Amino acid sequence: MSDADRAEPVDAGRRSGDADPQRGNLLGSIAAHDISKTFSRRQTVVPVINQLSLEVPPGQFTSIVGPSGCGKTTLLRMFAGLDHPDGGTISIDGKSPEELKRGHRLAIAFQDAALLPWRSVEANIRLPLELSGAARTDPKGTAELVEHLVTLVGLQGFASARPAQLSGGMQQRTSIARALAVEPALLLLDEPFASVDEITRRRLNVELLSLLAGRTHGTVLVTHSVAEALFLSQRLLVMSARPMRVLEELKVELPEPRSPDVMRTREFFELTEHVTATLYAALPESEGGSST
Amino acid sequence: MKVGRVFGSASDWLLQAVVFLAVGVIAPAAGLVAVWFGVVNGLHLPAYFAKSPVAAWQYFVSSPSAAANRQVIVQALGTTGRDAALGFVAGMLVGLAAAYLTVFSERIKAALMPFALAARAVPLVAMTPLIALTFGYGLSSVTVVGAIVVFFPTFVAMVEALNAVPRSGEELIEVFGGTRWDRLIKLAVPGTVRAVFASARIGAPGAVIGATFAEWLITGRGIGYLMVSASETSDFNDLWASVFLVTLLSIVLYNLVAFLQKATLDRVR
Repeated sequence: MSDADRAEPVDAGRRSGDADPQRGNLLGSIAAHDISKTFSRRQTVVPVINQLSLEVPPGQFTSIVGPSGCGKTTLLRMFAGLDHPDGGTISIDGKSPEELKRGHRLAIAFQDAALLPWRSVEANIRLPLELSGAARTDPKGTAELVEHLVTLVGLQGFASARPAQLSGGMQQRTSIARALAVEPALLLLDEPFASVDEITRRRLNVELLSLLAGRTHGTVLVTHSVAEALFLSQRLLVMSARPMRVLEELKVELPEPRSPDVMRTREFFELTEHVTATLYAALPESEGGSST
Repeated sequence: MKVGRVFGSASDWLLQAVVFLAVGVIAPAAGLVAVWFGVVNGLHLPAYFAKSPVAAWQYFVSSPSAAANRQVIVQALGTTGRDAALGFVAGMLVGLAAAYLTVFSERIKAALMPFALAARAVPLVAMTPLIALTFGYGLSSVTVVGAIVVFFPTFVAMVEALNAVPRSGEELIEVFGGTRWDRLIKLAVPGTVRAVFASARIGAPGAVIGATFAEWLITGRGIGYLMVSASETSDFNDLWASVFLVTLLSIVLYNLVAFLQKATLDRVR
């Protein structure tokens, strides 16, 4: 996905490898072993995740798709250290999510953009740099980086606008720019485009790919949209309904760099059908008629 | 947040001050005088103690002893203003500090709530002599009484406002490696500025109540004491003027906070 990548023919084989001569040291490998999580609702205990194990190599864009309420967001929140498994372990590059958080090596974007309403666009983007201390030690570099990010997500002219003055798509762009302000080991995206309209969503997907080009961190996206997942990912985890398990782990070997044209290929269509069928077949009887 | 935009230019301020004087001070004063007239004339009160604004004007402005009469009440008003200010500042500081402490742990919140409720539940009349015995018959006790009145609504409003700060903001700061201190400075404080002003608006008249209370029961100075002693010595001009002034003081302080909020906060949002 780096510039160097673009110049050369796509090497499908490297996707599973740990090292990438073009991108250097890749980050954000995930190893989850036997993680379990239950939620207690009044008297009943609902198992959300039951002994789930998975491995993701570093530097990958991984999407997690599954029916609503299956626990995929809970899994992402565990990677972020916001939820904790009742049993089992999660490590990212051999470290716990807590360690990564403390070292400012995680980044996240939520479904609601979670912008601070009293901060301007640029001040919102600057927040992670303030938290990591970079804004204090290198104010000039920080200002340049923030300005660069504002331009990168196409918000020139809105740098000093408040979130309330922005459209939903612009708010999400700000949220993504904020997540990219730090150089994380793992970027976590919790349905960041779920609340914007379909056309904007497509455009944001394309923009996201170009933003991530050449970056060495891993990315995990939780989404309902099979098309979005396939378009963005190198790796797809198809999840079942509660208690969540991995129905299928898919390597997405569509040509790179991806362009929107890929969505019109037969390959893309067949993959979409395949994933949708897998999801549909695993739905419990009671929801047998629903979509996804 | 640019300083110039928050504070505005000098001419801006002059205009605002004139507006405040007209809307926040003169208008309520006129309204109060009207009510005063209405009460004295409409209720057919005995002329012996029902002094109209006209009588008070003569007493304080045009009679031969006006200067001396004026001096008593102006001095008392100054004392009450100072006493109210002390209680207000102390109550706000303690209320804000206690509320912001709850950012650091749920347990602190659970531990502080009973004290906040006790400060409200025990009648001030019952507490005041105890406070006087504990803190002496001086300014410390006056400050404590005023602070108790101001503390409770401040603390409750601030805890409420902190609960309303979006959870996603806290999670965001956590994932990006922020500390609890970052949560306070970057989220809790800026997210509750409005509630600070709301608390101050409620607290300012409360501080005047606390001050008059402490003056009546503890120090024997200020408007709080003047009202009681004037009633006993039949100085009814003093009594009516005291009630007028202390009410006006409360309203003006309330308006002052509202004005400051408008002049600062609403400019940057």
